[in-house]
Amino acid sequence: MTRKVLFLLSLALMGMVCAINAQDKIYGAFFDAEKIRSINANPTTGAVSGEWGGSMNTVQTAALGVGTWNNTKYLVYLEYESNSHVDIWARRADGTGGAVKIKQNADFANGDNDLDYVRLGFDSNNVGWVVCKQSSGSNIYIGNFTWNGSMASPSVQVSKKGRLNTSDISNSTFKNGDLAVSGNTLFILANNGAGTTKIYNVPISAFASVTGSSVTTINYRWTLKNSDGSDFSGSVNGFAFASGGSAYLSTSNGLYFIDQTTTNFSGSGTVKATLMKNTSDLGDLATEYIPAFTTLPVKFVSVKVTLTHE
Amino acid sequence: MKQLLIILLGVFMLASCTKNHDDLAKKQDLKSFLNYEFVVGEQVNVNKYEIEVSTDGITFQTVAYVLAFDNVTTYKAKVEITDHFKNSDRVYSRIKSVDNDGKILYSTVSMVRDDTK
Repeated sequence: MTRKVLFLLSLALMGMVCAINAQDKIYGAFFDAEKIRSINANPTTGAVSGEWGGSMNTVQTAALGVGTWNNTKYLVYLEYESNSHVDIWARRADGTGGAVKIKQNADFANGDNDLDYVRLGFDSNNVGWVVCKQSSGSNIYIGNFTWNGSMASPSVQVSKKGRLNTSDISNSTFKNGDLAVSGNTLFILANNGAGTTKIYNVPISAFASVTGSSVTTINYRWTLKNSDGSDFSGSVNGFAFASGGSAYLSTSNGLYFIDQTTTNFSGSGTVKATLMKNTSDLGDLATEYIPAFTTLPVKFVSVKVTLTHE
Repeated sequence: MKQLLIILLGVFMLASCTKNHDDLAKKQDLKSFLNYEFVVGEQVNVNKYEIEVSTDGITFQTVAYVLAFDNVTTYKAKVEITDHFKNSDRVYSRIKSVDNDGKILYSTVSMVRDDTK
């Protein structure tokens, strides 16, 4: 009987944390030396092992993604251009070979010339999603692209998906940030550089038939805080999912972990993150993990069941 | 003396059968309920909590649900046991949270035993 119950409990836990790895690999873009580095982390506890390694030269980028094309894992990143367009670069994630510009002057925003490009993430179909915001205005744009996976003859198709509005009327928060995917949902990080840090989400299906002139509302989900309940200092730049549904967060001061099963909550919608490693000049984060779902943020404290006959 | 003992035993068995029959009839008249009280530490974007039950602990079916409310952390529900669950001496149960995006989270599994069976 005990074995049966334990088996059942195991089944329940398996449902919560699908396809969890022994170790996750996290890629980080560093501001100081234009490098991409990687580090391993425990997807359950967030504990990191070793130091940031595997240093790869790159360009100045605040938007990094990772995906697999033709059985090869690539890092893909955006380089800001003076005309507010971006160039898209790719290089092998194992560090071999050089970087290739797979698309020049990509435009995700109908020619708007006042943009910051800091958010990139790939979904399970290898579609790269890009969210950018006007530097001085309040317009937020979203678009996506596909790549044929070829470094020798790259072909990239860009699609504009219009503008975004936030459900809590908070477009101004979109200064720093990132984008990650869980299941069929985009999770968008927004930070104003002065402490306010939020996560929004929107189902990918919302963009199935939109055009470059459409406006889609994304849903406020959580406010992110330091483990002591305080706001983050500096900029909050990266958000990437762990293999089991928890998440990693990067600020200009370090790497954080959001544990989906023991998240400390304080007030409705507030999620606390725990600092796992002090790291200066850490910018965007990327992982290759697209968990089927993330259980953030609900937690069962107790469940009591009794049987009565009446 | 021996005859007296046989008669007393017969009377006792008759009384016992009558009592069991009365108990059975009484038990069949009773309704069985599962009473739930579960507490959530925090909930964001949760749409509802489904109550799932099972007789083998493997295959669950949803028998009821309660809607989630932002400011409520303790939920109570009373579910009548019917059909084949009523004939089982134990019922396994779990709570399934479903958020507005369709994502789910299960509680651990609880087992209650029906000592009347």
